[in-house]
Amino acid sequence: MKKHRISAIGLVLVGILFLFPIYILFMTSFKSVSEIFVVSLWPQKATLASIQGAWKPDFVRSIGNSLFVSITVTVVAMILHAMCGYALARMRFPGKKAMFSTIVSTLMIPTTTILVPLFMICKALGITNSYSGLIIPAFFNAYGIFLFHQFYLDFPGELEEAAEVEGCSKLKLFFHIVLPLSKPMIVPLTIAFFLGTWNNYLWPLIVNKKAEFYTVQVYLANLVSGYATPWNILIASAALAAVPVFILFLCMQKHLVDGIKATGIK
Amino acid sequence: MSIKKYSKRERREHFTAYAFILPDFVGLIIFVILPIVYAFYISLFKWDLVTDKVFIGIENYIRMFHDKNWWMAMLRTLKLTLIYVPGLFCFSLLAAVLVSRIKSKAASFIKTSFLMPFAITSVIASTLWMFLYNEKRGYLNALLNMAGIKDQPFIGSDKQAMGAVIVVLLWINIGYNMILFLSAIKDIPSSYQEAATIDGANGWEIFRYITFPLIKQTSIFILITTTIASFQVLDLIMVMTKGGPAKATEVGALYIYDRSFNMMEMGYGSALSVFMFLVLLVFSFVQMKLTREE
Amino acid sequence: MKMKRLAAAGMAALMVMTTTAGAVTVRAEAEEPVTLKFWTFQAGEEATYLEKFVQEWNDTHDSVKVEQTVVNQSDYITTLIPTAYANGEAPDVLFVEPATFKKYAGKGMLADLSPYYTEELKADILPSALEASTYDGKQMALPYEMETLGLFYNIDMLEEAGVEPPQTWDELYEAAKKLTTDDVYGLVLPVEKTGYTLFNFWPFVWMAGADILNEDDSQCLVDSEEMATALDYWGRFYQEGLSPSSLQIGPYDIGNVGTGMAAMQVSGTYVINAAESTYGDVNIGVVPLPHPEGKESITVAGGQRLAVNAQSEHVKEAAEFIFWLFGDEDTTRLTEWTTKAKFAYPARQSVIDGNKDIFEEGLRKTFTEFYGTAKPEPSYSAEVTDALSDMLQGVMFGGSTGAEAAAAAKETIDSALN
Repeated sequence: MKKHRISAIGLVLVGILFLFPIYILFMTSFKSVSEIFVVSLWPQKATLASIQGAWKPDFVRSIGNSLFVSITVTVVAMILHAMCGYALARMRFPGKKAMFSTIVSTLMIPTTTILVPLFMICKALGITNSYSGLIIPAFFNAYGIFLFHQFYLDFPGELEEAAEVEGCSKLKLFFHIVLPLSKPMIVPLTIAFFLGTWNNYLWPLIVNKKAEFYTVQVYLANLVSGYATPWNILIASAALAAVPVFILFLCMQKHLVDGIKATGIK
Repeated sequence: MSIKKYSKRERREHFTAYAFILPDFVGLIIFVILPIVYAFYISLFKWDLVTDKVFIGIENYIRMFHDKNWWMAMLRTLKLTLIYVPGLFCFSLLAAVLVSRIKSKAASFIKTSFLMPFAITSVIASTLWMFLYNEKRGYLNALLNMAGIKDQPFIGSDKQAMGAVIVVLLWINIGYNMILFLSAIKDIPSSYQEAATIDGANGWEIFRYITFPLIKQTSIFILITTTIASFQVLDLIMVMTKGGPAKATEVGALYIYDRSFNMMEMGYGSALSVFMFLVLLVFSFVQMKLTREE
Repeated sequence: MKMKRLAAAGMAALMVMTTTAGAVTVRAEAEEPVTLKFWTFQAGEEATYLEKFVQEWNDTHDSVKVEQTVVNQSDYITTLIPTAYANGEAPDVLFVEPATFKKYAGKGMLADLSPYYTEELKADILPSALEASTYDGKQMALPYEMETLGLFYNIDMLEEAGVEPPQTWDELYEAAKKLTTDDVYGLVLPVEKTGYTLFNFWPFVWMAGADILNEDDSQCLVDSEEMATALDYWGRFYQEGLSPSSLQIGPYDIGNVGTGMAAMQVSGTYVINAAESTYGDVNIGVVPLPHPEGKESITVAGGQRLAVNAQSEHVKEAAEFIFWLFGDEDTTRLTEWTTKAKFAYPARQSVIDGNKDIFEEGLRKTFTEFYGTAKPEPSYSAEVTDALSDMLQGVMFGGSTGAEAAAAAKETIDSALN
């Protein structure tokens, strides 16, 4: 027990270290322009000017766009990938190995190379400069399939057997039993997909040129343009943009990793 | 190929499986596989993105073998991978194992604080870390000065820049991978551990003979995905160093990007991508084989 | 249960998406007048003025509308323009700078604007600016602003250290050495491998008497003793820690001097507005770029030009728009641009002559005094530019001597020229 306490204290200290740059982000948003590049642990003269300056209609709209895009992508991707990963891990059918290898190997191509062809496809489908262009291509990512697949490989087989004995269809089994029990993977994947979409920069930059659909990352990058970066506004905007994500984390904190056990099986 | 006779039940299972996979697979074909095939096609052409493509066969690949800068960039990628992947793997696994044994409130603080940096994008992460890395006005050097060490240039030095970038990458990604490990660890029935404890196993033995073998699938996953990710690190380097100082951080992915867009040699850039794709394929195959044998 | 709700939300989201996509298409079909796509990356006051100009055009022209999109400058050059060209989606109106002019013109990306130039306008535009917008004997761009470099410095810091504003290379080096402290850099020069770093290096090349290519661009001349001298001089500031090896504030941003992070900074006319407003309470001065003993100071003149996309379906309309903007008989817009939106020298003699008093105000006065020493920023192909950038990085951070770096660059450029 004592050993656990030592490691707890150690990890808490590392955790504080991890939070330090984020503390700087928020602390600096309260600094005045002249103070930003002075090393200090808190502002000499705290001001709300930067945060007020950052809170512009365009900024708020970009946050709204990012939220809408990220939530949609996360929800849809989660269902698609859970189904796909489950079938690949737990069902028998011809061509399974080839399909799985193909899917995983798509992870290995550098994204920059497919930007141009991907744009061409989206243009052909008529979804550039719209939410669809931001959202639909983001669904399809082998990362989620791969992770669900690995998770379902270790999934307790007794469950399925019991269901089969009761004559339950695979579809019903999946949606009523498997999916609710997948929480240990759904939670981290929600984080991964939500943030992957929220933080994506290159694709939203290329696929959309309409200011009304700008995501928050594109908005932030545009702040750095020109000969004089408004540092205080940039930092305050970045801090504000991080808030929705931190709220998501806090909401999820309770659910972060309770195993299948905790969900009531075994 | 012999045609097998499947029973009705088997055929029903096949049908369900295909139905489960279909939406994702079709999407992947349109939005991922098609572009990759196109990239391969482009790699056989000389194409500047503007004028017409000229078919040149495997000339781009021949050029690649003679391109000294490319091999140096790949060597830097390899260096980054060899430091970053084991670093990330060990640190997040260690943190996960330790956290899983903590029963107090501290556990949730640790989880959240480790995960927080994952929410910070490259552009912002680089802005933030400049506050720490700044040579004369940075927090890190202020700290080092207190310890009697003189100012370090960090990302301004060709010797320290890669390390400085890797630290930021670890900072961003450790928390998330720790959570993945934790999810896997939590799924190990506690009875296994209890039994081992009664048998007199210590913490290390429990980890070595119970925990680690039982989280194998997650370990393989993390190993493969972080290896792939380490080959594709681009955003962060682009905003932090643009490959400098003096090419110290010009990794393969950045070189491809630079060739494809800045120099507008899309054909050549695609050939380099295809090559990198093959390298990763071999890497992942080896990783899977090695882990399977254990 | 939860999953069902999530699925419902997903379906709803999908439906929203399809409707939005539909709405966009309908609008696109309904449009009657010609729409010109115009991507801009200017920020602050410059952005405000550009928006105002576009508004003005749209208010007075019914059949041709300009649709402005604000993007970020580094993406504009590196990603957006190349990707857009590959897909035939490039904007009708383009910004080009010397660093990209040859690359774009050489690939046939720019439309020939010669037919739209009037004789009066040609005569009005400064000959060197016109020359620098010409490719294969055709005018491929409209120059409108000239940005020159000078040495900015914090007057109080120099006075405190007892340093006179440097005039020669040796004085600059000594001053940087004296002004460098634990807390402050002596001199800020650009750091990264970008066109901007080369832009800052040109004057040093010329002052040392070095050159890049011969007259007809057939031979590379970088392996000269003069080039080695320029490189060694430039590299010394980084090697000895007088110039920062990484920059938190961009090298084009006067914030380096403004926030007290550095005592001196090589920068251009474009920072004067920020020096006067954002950092108005800091005492900032400017002198011509220091020169080698016994030689003249030379500066470089760069700046954006407007061009028209050769793939555009509306070359004529786009040309009309850019000539209305900055090439018109009515010079109000160019005057506002070069005096209010930012400070730059107009590329037209008539606008310079008509606003003499403005170019004599404050820091502008010094720039105006040495304006005549400016040489136009040269433009090279992508391969040559890349090799030169690597050459600079080599002396700055790679531990090469000037001669070694120049020899390596020559090798690369030679193979690119053949």
